[in-house]
Amino acid sequence: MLNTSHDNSTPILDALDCGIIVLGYQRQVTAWNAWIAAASNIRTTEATGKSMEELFPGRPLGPILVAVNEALEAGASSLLTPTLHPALLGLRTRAGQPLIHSISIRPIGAIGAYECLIQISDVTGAMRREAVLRQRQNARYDAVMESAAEAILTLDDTGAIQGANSAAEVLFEIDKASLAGQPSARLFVEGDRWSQLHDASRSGQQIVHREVSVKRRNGSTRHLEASISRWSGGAKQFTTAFLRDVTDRLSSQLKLKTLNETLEQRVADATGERDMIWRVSQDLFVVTDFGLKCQSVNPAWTEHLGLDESEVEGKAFEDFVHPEDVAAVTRLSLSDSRVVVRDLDLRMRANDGRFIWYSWQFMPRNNQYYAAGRDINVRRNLEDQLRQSQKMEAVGQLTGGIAHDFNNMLGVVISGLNLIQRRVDRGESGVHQLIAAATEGAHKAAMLTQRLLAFSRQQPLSPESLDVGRMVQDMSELLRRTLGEHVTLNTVVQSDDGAVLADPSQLENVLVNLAVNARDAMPQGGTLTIETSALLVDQSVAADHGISPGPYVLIAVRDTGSGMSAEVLERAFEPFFTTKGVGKGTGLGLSQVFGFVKQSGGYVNIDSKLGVGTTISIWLPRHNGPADGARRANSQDVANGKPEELILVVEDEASVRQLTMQMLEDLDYSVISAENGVEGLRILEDRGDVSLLLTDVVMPGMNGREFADAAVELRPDLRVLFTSGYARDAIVRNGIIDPNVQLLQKPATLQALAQKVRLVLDN
Amino acid sequence: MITPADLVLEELERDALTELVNIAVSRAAKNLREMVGRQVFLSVPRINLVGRQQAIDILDEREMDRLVAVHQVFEGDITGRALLIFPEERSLELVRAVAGPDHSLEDIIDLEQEALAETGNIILNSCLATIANLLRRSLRVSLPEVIRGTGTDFFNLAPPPLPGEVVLFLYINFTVKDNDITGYIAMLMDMPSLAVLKGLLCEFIERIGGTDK
Repeated sequence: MLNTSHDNSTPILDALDCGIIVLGYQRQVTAWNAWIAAASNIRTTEATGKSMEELFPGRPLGPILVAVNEALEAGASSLLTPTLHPALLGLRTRAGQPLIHSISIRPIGAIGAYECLIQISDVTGAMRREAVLRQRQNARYDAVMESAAEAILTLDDTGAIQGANSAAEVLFEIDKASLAGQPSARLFVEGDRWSQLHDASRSGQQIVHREVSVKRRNGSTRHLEASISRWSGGAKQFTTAFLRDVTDRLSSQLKLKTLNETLEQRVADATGERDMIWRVSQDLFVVTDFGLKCQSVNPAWTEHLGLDESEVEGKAFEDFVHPEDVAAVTRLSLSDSRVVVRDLDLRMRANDGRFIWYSWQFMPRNNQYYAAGRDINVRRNLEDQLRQSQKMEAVGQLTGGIAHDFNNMLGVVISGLNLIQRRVDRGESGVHQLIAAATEGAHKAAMLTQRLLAFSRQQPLSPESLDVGRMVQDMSELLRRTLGEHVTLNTVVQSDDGAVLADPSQLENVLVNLAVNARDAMPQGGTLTIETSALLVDQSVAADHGISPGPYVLIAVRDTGSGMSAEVLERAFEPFFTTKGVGKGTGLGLSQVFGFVKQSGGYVNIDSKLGVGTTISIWLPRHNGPADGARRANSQDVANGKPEELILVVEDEASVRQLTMQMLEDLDYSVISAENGVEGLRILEDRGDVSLLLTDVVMPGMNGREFADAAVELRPDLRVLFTSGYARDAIVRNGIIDPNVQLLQKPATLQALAQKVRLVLDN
Repeated sequence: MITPADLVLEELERDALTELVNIAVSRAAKNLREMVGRQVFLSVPRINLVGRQQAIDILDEREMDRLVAVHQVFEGDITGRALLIFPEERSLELVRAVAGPDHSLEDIIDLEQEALAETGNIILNSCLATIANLLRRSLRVSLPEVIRGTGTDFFNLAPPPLPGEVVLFLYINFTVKDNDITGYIAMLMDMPSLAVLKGLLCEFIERIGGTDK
């Protein structure tokens, strides 16, 4: 179909694969090619001469008409795209599908006499392809975007939002359409910080897990972790921000943190409590290492023992323990098994030298002992009192038994003396037998009291340096007689076993005692072996046995007798415990041994098996001084005095004073007497010829020691001999007599008196 | 030889041109409104006549980022190029403003080229047509083309510029959907075209002044 003014070009126009419409100055169609005729379903003949409004009634022709005006009036060219102007003309493809088209509108002809060319291009294929591609891409993209729990924002370079997912809608409480184009910074509480993050991301920095926050409409704050990365879409740069809501996580972290902080507080409180207990406790607390070196102590040490922390810390625990209790402590420190120790009673040494009983609990933990000591002094004192009263009770019980024996002995003495008296009165002689019997009875009684004293450890000892081996050999004859012919005595003695410092008569007593016991244990006969040897006691053994370490002399007395049962063994050292028949033994033998050995700083042990025999081991500390010559033979000779040797006897007990004077006179000494120290001093002032002062120790008023001191001051050359039956008095220290003091034990035989007086006068 | 200095527009001429341009952009705004279905405000507060290099310097100084421009050639009594120039980063907002809110970012990116071309086309056509109309001269204007780059790129398009070319530099403000976008309209002309424009402006002023007088 042809337009008259375009005759020549009509075939060309119809052949074009695009729509051509030409409008004349009056906006009427002057050309309409085949393509537009097909697409619009308006034939050329119908279109020609009509306006666009007439041809496309109801279509949104505004933009086209504007463009046509611009073209006709100002020569301007315009482009209308289907993206902004979809289906402008409502065209169809040959298949009847909507035909997507773009339109360009240009002036044609000479300037000032324009016609308007409208060119329509089919972009359906391209648009469809793009749409499919985009749809597919969008589907994937949307799947990711929309399923993400994180809010995702895509921003342009200005920070304006160009894209947002559904999670962002929820987070920001703004729909996507309203989010689009908004400056993103205003969504965040810290807008400036957000802008900085955005700028950093734009400059290529990787923004990962930065904290930002959002205020919600309800006033709550959501904490977000933002990761931002940039990308380019065509010529433009974008950034995409992933915002993860970490409010819940942060609040759990906060809770955890709070919990931790309060935990610290609780621990601090508990620690404070313990610290307070540590400080206010009346019990002694100490932390030591496993060697029992004190690491820290509580203030109770200062309060109760007067020991400052600085005096205790770093020192050995045993330094503050009574020497007799050290053994138990040492056992603990040497033990490999770190066990809980309960109720370990120890005497703790206070700064003023007192000892106070504490009951200790030791708890091993983390290479340390945690120990607490409770003051049990009251309890221990009560226990001591109880023991004492038990002892007194025992003594009371004993008294009955002893009284019986003692009465027997006294009976012998008294009746003997009565008989002697009668015979002497009658002028008869032949009293020797009676005298001998009375004397024996008196000796037995003296022995008994000796043993009692030894048991009570109040027996005064006069230690000398003794060669034990030599003494054993010296005694062997005596012992053989004691043992009888059924028992063989073996002595195994080394010459260099060393000396001990001990009271010789007591040690003799001990050996005789043990020999008698052995003999009684071997009624059918057997062998008694007395062996001496040197022994070196180290620290741990010493601790175990409650003695000091160092060299010892061991005296072992071994029999092949019946042995002891465990129960007997357990009670062997108990005073008055005896397995012997009534009248055969006092039960004081072994306890006397025990008392003596302990008093001498030694140790005694019984090793016994029923039917095999018993070994009693006595350890006595070795003495380095030279041994004092051989023990004087137990001579029956009586050393007499001379009449010119004047002896002053001071004794408050008249009968004893009388008897002593008679004995001394019998020994040819000259004797004068005084009832007490004061009278004695007066006599000494009057008479300058007194050679020896024989004084009792225990006297009312001025005691023997004070009197003797005063007497020696008056007469420096005066010899002094004390006499006492009782050790707990002024001349004795710790049960041991001063080496310079001469003591005669009461009751004394005539021989003992004679020897001692002679000894003192001659020295 | 005519130099730009000789051709500096008189204050009156400049005022007249500013008025002309404002009439033109209000027409463009009307056309845009018709296209996008919402209010679009356009205004031209200032006009400068500058040398080509000066125009490049102004853009370099004022705009740090890359620029996007819609380019059209006009021919007639006055011949030259018209450029509508935006900072590239604002272009998406402009596109979103004219294309509507229902498009995804991907759509917007895809649409950008066409939307910019159409939008620029309308604004530039309106300006050129209005000026031509009021000056009673006819121009032929080419189809729009989108180009990206810097001021230097825009003012050195092929064929190579002739010495003494001047730029009529218009500052233009768009307000679309609460967004203020500042851009530029640059009309690059040779000397003869500027001389013609100046002459036409004088005629225009005389006409108006004549009626006043």
